[in-house]
Amino acid sequence: MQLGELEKLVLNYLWREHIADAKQVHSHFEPRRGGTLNTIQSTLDRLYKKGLLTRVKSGHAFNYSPSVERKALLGSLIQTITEELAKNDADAVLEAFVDISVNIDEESLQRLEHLIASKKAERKKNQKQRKPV
Amino acid sequence: MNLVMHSLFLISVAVLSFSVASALIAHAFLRWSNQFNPRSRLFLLRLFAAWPLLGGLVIGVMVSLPSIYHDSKLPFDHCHNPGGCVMQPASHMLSIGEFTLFIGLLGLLFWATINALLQWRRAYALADSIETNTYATLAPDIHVVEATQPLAFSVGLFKPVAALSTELIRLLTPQQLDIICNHEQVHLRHYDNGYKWALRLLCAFHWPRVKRAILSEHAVTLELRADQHVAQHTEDPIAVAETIVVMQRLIKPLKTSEPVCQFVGSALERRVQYLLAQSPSRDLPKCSAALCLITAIVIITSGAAPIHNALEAILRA
Repeated sequence: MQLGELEKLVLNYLWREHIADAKQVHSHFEPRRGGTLNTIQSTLDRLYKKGLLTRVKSGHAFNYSPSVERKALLGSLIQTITEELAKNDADAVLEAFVDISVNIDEESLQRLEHLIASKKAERKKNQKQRKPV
Repeated sequence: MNLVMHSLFLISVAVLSFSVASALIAHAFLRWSNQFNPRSRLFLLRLFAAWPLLGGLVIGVMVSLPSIYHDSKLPFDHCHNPGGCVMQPASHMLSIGEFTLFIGLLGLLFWATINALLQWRRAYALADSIETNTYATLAPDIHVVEATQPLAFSVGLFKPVAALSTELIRLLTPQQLDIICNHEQVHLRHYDNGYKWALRLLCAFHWPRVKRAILSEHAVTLELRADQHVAQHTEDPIAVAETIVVMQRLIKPLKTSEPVCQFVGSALERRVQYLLAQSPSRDLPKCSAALCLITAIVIITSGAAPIHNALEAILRA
């Protein structure tokens, strides 16, 4: 689902506050971003139509609250990311072509660690030699 | 219409010929290009990826262009060979075989384009979701997402974003995190995901085996370039190599059930060896792209008529 900049901000605000009406949302964003109450109202309406918010009529106004838990949305995002990473072929949009699922064996890992350790030791030795006596 | 159809057929034949030629030299080319530094190698790999399409287009246009002056509006309508030519003048529309070849290649391009569009949409949606679910930002365009897996990756083609997971931040030292952030920022700065995406499209006319090899080498070279940049920035290639190995250790227990981390994704051993060796590799001149373009223009302008006449000499009576 594609969300606009303000939509993302409003959704994040409602995840934090749980429930708010348009005036409350507007008073939160107005000092930082400016914008009119109408803009906030239409943003909330768009989010409601996208199914991300629920609303309850309270007097003349609506009280909005998130219909999707942040964790649920995050969970599905992580799931998508992990699936993309696991794909690891020409179709993936994250790491596409390098076989990340290749299991580097323990022996190779240890060999690399030894190599790094020896390079570090070598550097230390060189630094000591360079120090004036 | 006849001329256009014949020209497209000629372009198709040229594309196919270049594709076969690329398949024959791919192995040797990839080995040869290994001597260059990542920046130069990326240029060579991208040129090689575009070779069948560009070469085919150039040769096809070169052969077809002089036909504009033919009264018959056919690509080959007279013979330059006093001894007589092999075939009769083409006075027909494309044969079924010729048409099939052209449609086949067009279909291939269409398929690659559809795939590219779907990938672009997925990448866009994913980048958008990451921005929506950002927990915090570590650096410009480096988003932190809450996850129990150590993740580090970049996504998005034209407006890329990078993301690190909270678990990764918990497990790594500040220096290691700085290295990963820098690495991802290099990817973002150079629009590496966008180039990968475009290269997939450009490789449409390569044979599958060659396409896989080019894309794989390109991906590894992008990682090598990012590593090299970070090593230069931190002035500590050993720390970068160490971070790569540490990340590999972190993700190792997850391998079977969970995915991994882009940062350590590519040819781990090669990356570590490259960082530790830091042996000087060859660099292409900075004006290579301009030189290629000038050479192509010279060949096209001076070679169109001779190539056209040579083919006419062979094919038409």
